[in-house]
Amino acid sequence: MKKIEDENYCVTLDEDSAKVIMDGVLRLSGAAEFTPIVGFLNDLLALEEKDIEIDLSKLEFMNSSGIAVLSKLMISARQRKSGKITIRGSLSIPWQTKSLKNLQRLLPALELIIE
Amino acid sequence: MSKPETTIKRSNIRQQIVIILIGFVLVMGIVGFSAKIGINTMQENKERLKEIVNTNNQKFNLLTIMSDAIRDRMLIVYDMTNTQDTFELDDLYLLSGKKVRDFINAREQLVAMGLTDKQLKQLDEQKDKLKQAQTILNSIIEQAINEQEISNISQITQARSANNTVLKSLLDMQNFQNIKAQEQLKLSEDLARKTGIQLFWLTLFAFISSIIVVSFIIRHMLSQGKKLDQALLELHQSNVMLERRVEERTNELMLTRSENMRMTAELDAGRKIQEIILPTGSELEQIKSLDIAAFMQPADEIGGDYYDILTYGDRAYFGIGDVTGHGLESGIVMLMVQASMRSHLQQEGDISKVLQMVNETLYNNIQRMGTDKNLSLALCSYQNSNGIGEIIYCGQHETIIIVRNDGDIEEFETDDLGFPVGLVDSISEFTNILRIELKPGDAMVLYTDGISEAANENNELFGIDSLKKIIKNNYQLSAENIKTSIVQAVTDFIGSKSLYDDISLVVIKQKSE
Repeated sequence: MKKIEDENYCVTLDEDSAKVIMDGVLRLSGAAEFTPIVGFLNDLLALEEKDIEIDLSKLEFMNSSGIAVLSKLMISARQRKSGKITIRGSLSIPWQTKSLKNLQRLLPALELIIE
Repeated sequence: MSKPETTIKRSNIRQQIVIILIGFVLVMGIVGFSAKIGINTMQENKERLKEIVNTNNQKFNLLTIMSDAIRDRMLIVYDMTNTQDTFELDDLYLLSGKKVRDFINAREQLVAMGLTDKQLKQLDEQKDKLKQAQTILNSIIEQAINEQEISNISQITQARSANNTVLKSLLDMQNFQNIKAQEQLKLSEDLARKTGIQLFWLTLFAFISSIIVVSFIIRHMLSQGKKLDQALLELHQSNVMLERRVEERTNELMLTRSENMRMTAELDAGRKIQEIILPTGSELEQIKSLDIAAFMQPADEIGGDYYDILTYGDRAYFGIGDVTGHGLESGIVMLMVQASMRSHLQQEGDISKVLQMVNETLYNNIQRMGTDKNLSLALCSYQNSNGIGEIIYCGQHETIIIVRNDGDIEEFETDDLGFPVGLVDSISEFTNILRIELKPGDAMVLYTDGISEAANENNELFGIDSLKKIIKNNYQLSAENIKTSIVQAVTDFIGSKSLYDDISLVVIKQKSE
């Protein structure tokens, strides 16, 4: 279990269960501040032949930089040959429905669970 | 800051040490003075002792005189009994009288000098014996003067015996006087020596204990001084740190101020950009079949709202978009969108192709800028035929709200009509078009999320339902009045809270002829 956190957010990488969990409010400015989180996501993607999951169901807010990070991740994930990718979201968080659907449009194989 | 306080405290300690030393000297002075008084007393004692010895010597001498007088008189009387010479007899007689006076004189002096009760008693006891001896001696002297034979030799023996008793008594007195004086002297000397020794030890003790106490106090004070120095040093260091921090904070404040100035300049520039590129009233009036009202209120911080209305040939085009985030970068991206839209529309009538081209332009530029900005962007074309308007809509943006001429509200999702612009290199696979017919009196409302997500003091959102309700309540009004009522409702809702995002609104109403 690895963690990146401050008073507003917490990002956890659990390599055993092949999961990245993002909680709170992610309002980092620019790609540079997102670098450690991008590192987590790339580590997750590198787990070949595993079903991986990104859990955003408790992520209240993510700014455009974060959306850009996830969009780029989806594009890189197109190269992935095996293993399912799941993104978990929440219906009660308004920004997720539209943005997560856009991710699925970038990666049609993405399993999107919004509940 | 220097350390003057430390030296002031140091000199305070020095002052205290000096005071203690003065106190010590005073104590020693008092001890010395007491010793001097003791010594003086001893001296006086010695003088008195000397006087006692003198008195004793005098008494002793007087007693000797008395003894001698008795013994001499005995001898004189004896001589008188043995001489026939009358002159000599006379002389001896006078001499014997003198001896008696000597004795009486000495005795008187002795009594005058003061005697103990025992001695006075002894003197009284001697009187009888003396009287007895005197009587015998007087009768012997009388017989001798009358040249008679000493009748009884035993008389002399008797007198001698009586005198001897007196002499012995006097000798006793002398010895007693001697012993007493010697005892007194010895006692006195012992006392003096003892006092001296005691005084010496007392002084030594006072001196040593004073030194111990004083050295303890001084050491304690010095260690206190050291602690004080340490505390002052720490205080000084923390002061220096505090000063440094204040300086840093001041610098930060100065930086913040200059940052603020920079941001104010940015804000002004951003607002200017937004104002300059907004379509003018005359541009709106060119479209005869439409009643158009548009509104934009920039946020306190520069937002990235975009809207544009333009005409090419017989078609009108409406663009609306919202660049993510705030600040000058968002404003610049918005400016690029505006320019790119206009330039591509001049060459291409297919709005989905225009959107794809705008995306390519923007994506490349955004990558080059090294920013993560992207935008929601919608583009509509409008054509009027026989009083009926046809809207072709393309792009992913907020929902489209249509109010029909009977007050019915229709809402169209746009998620499947496009993709965020500038996020990925190509959106061609994601763009679709939606056709909407506008009958006379029908209106279309385009807006940015500054309206739907306007927040009040309790962080509640204005929401799409409120927007629809306002539109429904005012559907019969002109585009301008519908716009005004929406803006009023949003402004009322926000209340005293500052505007966090730009508010953009375009109302297009098909004229009824």
